[in-house]
This record gives sequence, structure tokens and C-alpha cells, in this order.
Amino acid sequence: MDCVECQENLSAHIENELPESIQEQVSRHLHACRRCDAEYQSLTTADQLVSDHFMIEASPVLWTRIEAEIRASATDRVAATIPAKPTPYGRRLSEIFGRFSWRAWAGAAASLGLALGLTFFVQQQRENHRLDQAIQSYIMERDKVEQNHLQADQGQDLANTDEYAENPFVIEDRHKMENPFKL
Amino acid sequence: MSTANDKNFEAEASVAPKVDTLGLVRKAKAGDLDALQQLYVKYVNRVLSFVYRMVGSKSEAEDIVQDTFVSAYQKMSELKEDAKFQSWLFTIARNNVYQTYRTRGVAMVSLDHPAKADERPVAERVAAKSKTPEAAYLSDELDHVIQSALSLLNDKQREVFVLSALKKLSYEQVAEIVGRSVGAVKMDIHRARLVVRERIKNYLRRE
Repeated sequence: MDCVECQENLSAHIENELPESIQEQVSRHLHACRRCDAEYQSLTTADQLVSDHFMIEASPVLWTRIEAEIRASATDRVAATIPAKPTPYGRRLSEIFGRFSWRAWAGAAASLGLALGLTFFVQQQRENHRLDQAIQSYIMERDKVEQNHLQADQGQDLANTDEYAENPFVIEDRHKMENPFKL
Repeated sequence: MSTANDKNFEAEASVAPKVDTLGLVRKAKAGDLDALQQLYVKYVNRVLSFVYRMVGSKSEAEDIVQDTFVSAYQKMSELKEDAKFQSWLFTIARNNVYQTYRTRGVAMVSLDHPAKADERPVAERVAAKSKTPEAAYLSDELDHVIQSALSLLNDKQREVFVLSALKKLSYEQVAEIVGRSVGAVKMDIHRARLVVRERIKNYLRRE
């Protein structure tokens, strides 16, 4: 293995990612070549420096801050679940509603709904009846007017027939006329 | 800068197997805040590191992590598989990161005005970490180099590289968090590593 090949494989050699045979060849070359070995040492030193200086420590107060935020958010959540204090008006309503069970309130609501429905239905029926009567009287009135018009038209037609019964081209005393061409 | 040192990783690694994560998730689901706190202790540095490397500002990252854990607690009932709590937590964090991108219009803070991981004065940070001023300076500078290397990556490469650089996240878990295939994730992680290695290698040569 020459220096170029060795340096190409150096990073992979450090990470132990090369096949075993090439890994050994690189190792042998590093033992024999001072220049490549120096390169190898600088790379491993760089890795070691990164490793040693990579981690940092948290401030001692960081956990206190985290704990305080968790406790504050937990308090907020509990506060959000507590119902708001009722106003005097709200309290009065609560008392009224609290006197009867939900079944009683449900029955009352159903009865009210039924009564309102019936009232609406009767009103609709009355309105429909009134409309039927109005339409009926309108139709009767209209038929009567049409009948009168028809009768009037028929009388006029008869009168016209009488008027044109006489043939205007008929000369009654035709035979009495003298022949104008007779000499 | 407040980087976690090896001692912290070892401590976390030694404690982690003893913690019954599934039990804690079940308790947190039932509203147990103490269980959530234990889960927080286990995962917060990894989630915070991921978010910080994505947004580039620690104060903003802590706000996002706060929202992440609050959301996780409130939506625990939506977690179908308790064993996938870690991936689910990172998914919430990732969604919050992208929400932040949308709000501010750009992915990362400008390199011209890089955000510091820790906005406290240097002297205070040094005292807090019992570091020498030189160590604090070097740490800050390295952090800036890492952050500038990450800014060279596109959003997809950056998120998979950052997730893979966090301990205990497999390629499969990274793919699950970002909703992509394992092959595509491996490819992007490899490309991202090349860019980041090159950047840091150049920095080391200058030194």
C-alpha cells in the first residue's frame, strides 16, 4: 500500500469500517511510514479533542427552572378545571333548576313542545279552510260571469243572423223587370 | 467554558447502568416528578450538548432544553415504547431546535460574533471550574474551533455528526431520531467527520 492509498483509507481505518485485510495493510503502512503516521496521529488527536470538549454541563439552576414551569402549568390546568364562581343571577337560576329533577324538566319541555305543535296545526287547518272557501266563491263568481257573457254572445249572434237573412242580391220583383236588351 | 471532563463521563457511565431507566420512565408517565428529575440527571448533559452544538449559544440551548423536558413530562403518555425514551427525548429537542431556527431565520449564530458556551465572565468561570486561566482560554478556543467546524456543515450533516459524537447513541438511534435511513446517516457522519477533522488538524498545526 502506498501513501496515497493509505491516506484515502485513513478516516475509514479510524472508524474501523474497512475490511479486515485492508485494515491490516493500513496498519502496516502506518508503522512503516512516519508521514502517514503523523497524519493518522493528528486525525485521532482531532477526534479526541472533539470527544473531550464536545459535552457541556447544564447550569445548576436549570432543573429548578424546569420544575417551576411544570408546577406552574399543572396549577394552570387545575385552575382551568374548576368551574367559575356563579353570579347571583346564575345562582338563582341554578336554584330554580335544582328544585326539580331532570325528568320533570324533560316532561315539561315535551308537553310544551306538544302544545305548541297542536296550536300550530289547528291554526294551519283554519287558514286552509278559509282559503278553500275563498277559492270556491271565486270559482262560482267566475262561472257566473262566464255564463252571462256566453248568453250575451249567443243573443248577438242570432241578431246578426237575422240581419243577414235577406239576400241583398235578390231582387224581389225580378220578373217584373223589363228586359233591357229586348228590342 | 463549562465542558464536562473525563471524570464526569466516567461518573455518568458508572451510574447509568445502575439506574432503572424503564422504571423511571414508567413512574414519570404516572406523573412522578422525582422520576423525571432522575431522568433529567441522566440525560441533560447529552441533550444540552446536542442542542448547544446545533444553536451555538448556551443560554438559548438551556431555554430549549427546559422546553424539551417540560414537553416530555406533559406528553409522556404519547411515548409508546418506554425503552425508546432517549431517542424520543432527542426528537423533541431536535424539533425545538428547528423551531428556533425558524423563529430566528438562521441555523447557527454568526462566527463573527460567536456565542460563548458560558456567558459568565472568564474569571468567574475559572474560579468555578478550578482551572488555570490558560486552561480556560484553551478550552474556550477549542470550543470555538469545534463550533466553527460545525458551522461548515449543512443542517443534516451537523445534526447527525453531533448526535453520533454524543456517547451511547448508535447509528440506528441517530437514524431514528432524524427520521432517515441508517446508510444515509452513516454517509453524512463520515463526510462531517472529514470536515471537522480537517479543521481541527489545521488548528493543531497552527499551534
